[in-house]
Amino acid sequence: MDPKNPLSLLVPLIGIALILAAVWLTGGARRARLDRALVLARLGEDLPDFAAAEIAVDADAAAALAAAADGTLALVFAAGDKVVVRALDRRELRRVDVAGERLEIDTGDFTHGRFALALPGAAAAWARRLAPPERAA
Amino acid sequence: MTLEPKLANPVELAIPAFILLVLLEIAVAKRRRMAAYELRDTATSLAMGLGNLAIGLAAGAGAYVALTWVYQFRLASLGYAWWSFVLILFAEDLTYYWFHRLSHRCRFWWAAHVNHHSSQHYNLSTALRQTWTGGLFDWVLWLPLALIGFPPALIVFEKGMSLVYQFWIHTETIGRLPRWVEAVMNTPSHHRVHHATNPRYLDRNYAGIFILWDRLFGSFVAETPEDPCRYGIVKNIGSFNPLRIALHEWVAIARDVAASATWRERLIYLLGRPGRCFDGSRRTTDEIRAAWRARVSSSQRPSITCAPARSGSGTLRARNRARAAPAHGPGHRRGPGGPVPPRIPAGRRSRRRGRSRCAPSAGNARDRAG
Repeated sequence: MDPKNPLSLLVPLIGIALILAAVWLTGGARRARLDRALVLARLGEDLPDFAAAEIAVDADAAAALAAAADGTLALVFAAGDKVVVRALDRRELRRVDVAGERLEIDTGDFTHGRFALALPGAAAAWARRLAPPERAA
Repeated sequence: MTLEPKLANPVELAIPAFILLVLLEIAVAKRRRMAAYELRDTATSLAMGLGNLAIGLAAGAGAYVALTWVYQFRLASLGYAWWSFVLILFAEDLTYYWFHRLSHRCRFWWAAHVNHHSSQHYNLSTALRQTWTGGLFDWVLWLPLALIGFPPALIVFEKGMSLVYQFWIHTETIGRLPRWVEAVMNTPSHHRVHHATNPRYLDRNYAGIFILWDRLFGSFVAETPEDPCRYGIVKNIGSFNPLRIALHEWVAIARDVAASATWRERLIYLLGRPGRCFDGSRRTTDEIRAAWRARVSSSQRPSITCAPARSGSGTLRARNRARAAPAHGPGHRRGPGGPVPPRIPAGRRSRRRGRSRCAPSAGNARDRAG
């Protein structure tokens, strides 16, 4: 990139615009929609030692919580058309709040830490599960 | 007096070709009904490529000064003869191999390189998802080339050529190439393995141009159709913010170092293997591979004491395993006639057949890591 030559900046910028337009026109603006099967599948790949006993997928199908029989927890969420899995450590969660039917979590993750899951009828129960061990006891 | 030829910057010259090839790949992917591109993922990769170019202006100038300084003490004057171009091709590629291996095996270097692996997609735009921080220090590994006697301009030129070569191998639209090509050159197939997070593929195929180095130094693994590549990193990131992607591992290192109790721990968090930790919360790639091998071997061991679970029963974990193959959801690969049926690895097939309520536990490498 030569700062004295405007073309050296213009060509990449035009290229980026063309590429993004092409991706959008070919149906590239999509998001993964979580369901129980997809959550289980991704848990099996990313956390093979995690044996999910209970799963709650939020109403927007954008995130889900999973609990194992031994009390360990995992968070699964959509990132674009892909899925990201996190093992949750209750001691490291920065914030767990219930706002109506929504469960708000701050995992403290630098890349994506704040989540609001619509869990009608289940938000409070999951909040209790996510509470730090001393508070839960 | 040595005449310094004006060598072109291969990356700058290749930018129009990069753009055209990405557009071509988008068209091919659409035609084959592959979910290769996602808008935000592509925008992030392109933004990171642009940022890398801009940062490279400043960092590259510093690197050039350092190369020129070391070149004063050169052991030989290799100049710009035709054979110098041949020699630098192999010498730079060998340097790149070790730089790349270090970038996966030492957390300090990984922190700069991880963003290149941060996409769960594998397409030509992923090639442009380049580091923002590596250019500040990675050039030190190329200084020996100047000390040997390669002119700095030639080293920079060859680094650019290597980057241009590595662009086209970031694609799923090219399968396997003729055997002799796969034997000698780094190809899309070999590099898919490098970007995959399947335990068998982790930290393999570091090559830039010639795959010979991996074969020579024992880091080569061939792509296996039974184990389709899953792309990304062991702990995938859920952000499309280029700044967060560029810095997230540096932030993680800073947090680990700040929470460490001893200098030994701090040093290991900075320079140890990525994933190394003292609380059992993470695993290195070697530990992940060891756990995977233990799972595979235990699932292949005949079960004597446990009867297979009846159809429709079994624990969630067993069902979880059985469903693990078609795991990519809306983003998974589609063949020309619709979705490609999931290819189940040999280990998984045997697990499904021998599905058991009391399958022996493979043990958790996390316990060992602690």
